[in-house]
Order: sequence, then structure tokens, then C-alpha cells
Amino acid sequence: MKSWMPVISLFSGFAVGFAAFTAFKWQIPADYAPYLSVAALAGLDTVFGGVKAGIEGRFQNDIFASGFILNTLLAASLAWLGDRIGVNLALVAVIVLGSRVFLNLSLIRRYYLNKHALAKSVQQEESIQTPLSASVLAQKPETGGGI
Amino acid sequence: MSVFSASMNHRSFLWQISAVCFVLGMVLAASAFTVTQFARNGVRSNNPALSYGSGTQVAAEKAQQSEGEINKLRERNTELENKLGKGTDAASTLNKELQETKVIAGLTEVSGPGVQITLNDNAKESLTQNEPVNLGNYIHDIDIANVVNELKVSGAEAIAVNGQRISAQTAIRCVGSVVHINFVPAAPPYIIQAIGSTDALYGGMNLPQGVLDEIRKVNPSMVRIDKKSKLVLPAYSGSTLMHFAQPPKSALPEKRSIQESEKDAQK
Repeated sequence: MKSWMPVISLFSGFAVGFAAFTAFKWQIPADYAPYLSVAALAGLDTVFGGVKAGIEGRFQNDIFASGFILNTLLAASLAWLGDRIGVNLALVAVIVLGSRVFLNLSLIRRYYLNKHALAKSVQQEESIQTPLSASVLAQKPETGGGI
Repeated sequence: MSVFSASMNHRSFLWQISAVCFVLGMVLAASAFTVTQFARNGVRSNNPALSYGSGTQVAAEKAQQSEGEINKLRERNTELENKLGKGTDAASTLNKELQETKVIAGLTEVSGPGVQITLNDNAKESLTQNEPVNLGNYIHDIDIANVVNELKVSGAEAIAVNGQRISAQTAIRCVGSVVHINFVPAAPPYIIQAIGSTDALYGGMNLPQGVLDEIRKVNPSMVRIDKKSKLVLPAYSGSTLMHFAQPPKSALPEKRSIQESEKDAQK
């Protein structure tokens, strides 16, 4: 299954990273641990955004790659700046990125459910030959429709 | 029939997302690893807001190490004194006296028969919010001080509380809700060990209207007294520096350099 590839590589990346940290006894200073967590969340947001864009057919690799790098750096530096000026900007990043992750996930879920429904209806009405995929893509789900 | 049909030309996006997912997985692993490390070892940080707890822990560890070092150095000191004392009759007499004085001062480990008194907080105490706290349910610094005092009256030659030797400099007092002995925090059960005549110490502890009576009235199980045929009490490891107290000039020894003493020892 080609569509499972990102999930598989996410887990293998996690395994490789964890193994490397355990094997080489790398240490991240406690002061930077919160920034790393925010950066990871930003990366998660970018990946889900990329998947959504890919499903919608609007995926652009330059936007995706630059977004991943810059969003992680921006989120981490924003959190760092927040600590310097005494405002919890890490929380801001967590809320914004978290809500975006949920939004993107809901959109991805809708597309997959639509795909299932389509496959069923195609089985039932084999005789009718209409370009269903085009019609599904035409009626894009509303973003506000219940995340 | 696929919802991907529109993106068929861009199918490569899955590859790219997979590549980025791999990197993201590693970042997540780094984050998770760090957090689990902190959970296991406690946060070690330069940021004071993060590290108050670990700071005291580090300081306590250091203090413990230093105490061990002090004990080692004092043992080494005794060894050297014994070596120095081997030279002449005068030196050996002096050394004998010195070692006896050190035993009295609590600077050497001692062993012998005695009693062991265990004081514990009341286990039956009920902690309902409506009842007022009964202070009688807890062992206080003053209880320990009274017991130590009574042990001395009964002829105890050496006393230690929770592994802290009672010396001339020892203070037993409350800091917040914790009893400190020799400035080291102690927690219940408080184990008071005293070397001396077992029967005399046992009797002293069981005097009518004695120091333990009040505690026994609350709950007899808060107090336990055991006769011991052999107790080993550690040396006092606190400071013995004197800044103000000075002996009379007649008692001061002539000043000699270490080299001279070593020469004497070699003779």
C-alpha cells in the first residue's frame, strides 16, 4: 500500500531516532526540550498540511519542504522568544498548530470517507458511467462543518 | 475510481511526505527521549525555574560526598597520629590521651552494648479534615532532645540519632516539619542508639513520669526500646572548626612545623 508509506517512514524514523539517542547517549539540554517539542508539533502540522494538499491535488514540493523547515524553526524560535520576554508564546504555537492539525486531519478523514462511499455506490450502480471522482472533487467539504 | 485521480500526476508527493515523515519521526523521538530521560533522572538545568528540586538534590549529594570525605580524612588523621605517637614514650602517652579525647568528642567510631530506642509517629492517627491536628501524634525535635538528655543522665557514653552522632556541637531542632540533627534532616522512625550500661539506660527510659510517658499515653506502639549487645555508632562528621573559643595561653602547645614533628617521629 503506497498510501501507508508516510506512516511507515514516520515510525521507522522514530525507531531510528530513539535507537540513536539511546546508543550514542545524546543529551538535549533541559532548557531546549520545550522548544524541540513545539518544533516537532510544527513538523506534524506541515506533514498533515502536505497530505491534505496532496489529496486535493495542490501539492507543491517546494512549498512543502520550505514549510517544514521554516515552520519548525519559526515555532521553536517563537517559543524561545516567548521565554525571553516572559510571554508563553510556546502555548500560542501549540494552540495554533494543534488546531491546524485537527482541521487537516478532519479534511483528510472526509476525503477518505467520501472515497469509501463512492466505491460502494459504484458497486451498486455499475451500469451508470459518470465521472464520479470529478463530482466528488467539485463538492469540497466545508471547513467549518464539525471538526 | 480514486479521489487521488486529480493528483495522479503528483503521485510523487507521497514519497516526499514519507521523507519528511522520517525526519519528523526522528525529531519526535528526540523529544520523547528527552522527556522520558527527565522523568527518569529529574531535570538537570541551568534555568533556575526548572531546577529548584534537582538543585537541592545535587547539593545534598555533594554534602553527603563531603561528609564521607571528612570521615575518611579523620580516619587518616588518627592513623597518622598513631604513627607519630610510636616514636617516644612521651609521644605515645600523648597520642593515647588524644585518642581517648577523640572518643569523648565523638570523632571516632565506637562500638559497645547499649539500647536502641525507636520513636515513630502515631500510625493510628486519622487524617480527616474536620478533626483538628493532634500534635501528640507526631514525634517532635523536643522529644528526641529529651530522650538524648535522659540517656546522658543514665550514663550513656555515646549516642547517635538516625546515624548522626551526638557531639558537643550537635543541635536537635525543627526546620519546618522536619527534624534536623547535626543540620542533617532526619525522618521518622527516629532510631536513637546509645552505648552504656544496658540496664541503666533501659531503666532510665522507663522511669515513671519519664520522658517517654507522654508519647506512650498517645499510643504505646510509638515507642520501642531494644537492648542490644553490640551497637556501632558512626563518627561525628560535622564541623569542628573553632573561630571564637580559645583555650588559655598556658594550655596552648608550642608552635611546631609539620617537618619537625615528622623528624621527631623518625627518631
